[in-house]
Amino acid sequence: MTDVALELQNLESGYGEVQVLWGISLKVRAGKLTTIIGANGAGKTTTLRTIMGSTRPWGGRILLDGEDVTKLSPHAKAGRGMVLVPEGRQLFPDMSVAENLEMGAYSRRARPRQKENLERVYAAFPRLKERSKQKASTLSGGEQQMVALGRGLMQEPVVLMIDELSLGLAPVLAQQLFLTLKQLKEQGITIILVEQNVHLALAVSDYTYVLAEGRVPIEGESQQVALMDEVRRAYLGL
Amino acid sequence: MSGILASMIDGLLIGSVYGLAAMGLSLIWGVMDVINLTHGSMIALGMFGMYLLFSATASNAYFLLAPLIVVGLVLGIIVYWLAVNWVVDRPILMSLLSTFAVNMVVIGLGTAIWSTSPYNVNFSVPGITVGEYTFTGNHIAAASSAVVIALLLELFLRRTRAGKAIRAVADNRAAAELMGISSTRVLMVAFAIGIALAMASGALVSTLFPFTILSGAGYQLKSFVVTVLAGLGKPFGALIAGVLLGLLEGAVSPFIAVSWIPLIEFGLFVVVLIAFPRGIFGKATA
Repeated sequence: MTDVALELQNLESGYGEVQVLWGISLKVRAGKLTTIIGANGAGKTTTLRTIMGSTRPWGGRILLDGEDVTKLSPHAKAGRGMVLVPEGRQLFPDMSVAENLEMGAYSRRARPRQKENLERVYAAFPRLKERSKQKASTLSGGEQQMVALGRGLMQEPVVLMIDELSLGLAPVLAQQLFLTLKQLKEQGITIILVEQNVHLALAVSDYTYVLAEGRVPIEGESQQVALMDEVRRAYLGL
Repeated sequence: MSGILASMIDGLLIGSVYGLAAMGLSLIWGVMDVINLTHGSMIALGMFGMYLLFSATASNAYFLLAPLIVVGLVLGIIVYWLAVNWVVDRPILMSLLSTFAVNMVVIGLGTAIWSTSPYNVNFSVPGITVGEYTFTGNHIAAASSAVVIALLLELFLRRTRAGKAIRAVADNRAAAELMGISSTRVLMVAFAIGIALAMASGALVSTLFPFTILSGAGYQLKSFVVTVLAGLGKPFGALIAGVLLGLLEGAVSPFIAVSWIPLIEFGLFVVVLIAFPRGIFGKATA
């Protein structure tokens, strides 16, 4: 078994009085693509938000390369290479595409390779280069998703977490983004993908966790999870 | 006819100082959604800061802006940690009350030290005479200083990494955190800049008119009008709206008593709010 890049031990959290995660434990292996699937409201987004610290953990631990980072603020985690491409893109609408990408390289660890990373992003998404001076808010949904992913790549991720990569995108574009993910994995980046398109998620990922009601009832190699009866019935509509 | 023109030019000059004051208010609102009610007292502190520094050094008053801006930044950081950091994400009434409290403390202390009698900064720059009319040198110098400071701020926000981080936090604070930007530090810096701008504008006003510790209130009110006219959170728009407001004052002042000017300004304010609910330079959508 390869090294564990990110480990969650019994993670609990929620919003206000409402507990959403009831003890999530998972081990994300370095250089692998791990996916988290589950119904709406199962706690997928909350899991990613809690890992980043955007939502405060109530209990449990988060280990990055074996080091406890549970209590760090989101910006401190970003500074260590934990990168979240959040649900709903969360761009800087009044800033240009180029400035959005530049903000990705804000942290000290990402700064030295800003130029190369920008070229990489523009090579992967030539459309963004054409629109680099345009305000992010004037882009189409698909282009905005490219900016969100590109901005994440500018951050030099150690662990790249992506919340709903394909939501609201044309199938062709979704496919292109998934190809990009595969290339990123080949470059050695650890990826956690939350995805409503379960077929695609199971097809591209190495390992799968199934989330239900804030717990993890099922986990396994993606190929095996895809064959499980309860997964096929509940999530694949078979 | 040339009298109106001259009066309008003069209004334009003073308007750029209004604009500079409003930029501070606008920046703070835009970045942290806090209506900074210390604004007026900070303008007054700028006036007295200029008075003290000028009395002590007797150097060119406009060169004293630089040290006063530094004082403003430091003061802004102190006020941020004392009164703002705790209430940034709380309901707006909380930040209104806490900044109002600081305002009252400053004005109370100022009244104890300087009483409420008028002071002035006895410094004048030679004017420029065009035909029959002479433009006061101080008005020209104050306006030029205001425009230079405003342009420097705009350059800082557009071109530097720290300035872009401020805009990023203003646009989407949670996302800025995800980029590794410490939003608390950015809020502190933005607040400090806002206070420094208020003090700089007060310092400029002190070279134009006599002032008391209470004089900030009137400029605070004008800053609100200008900020809303420009669209909340648009610092450079605030400068332009300030100039427009000054121009308006200049245009009407030859015809009516000075006491009518606020009525016209606030009447216009209401009309603009109805016609452009998001301000003249505001965003079309939220």
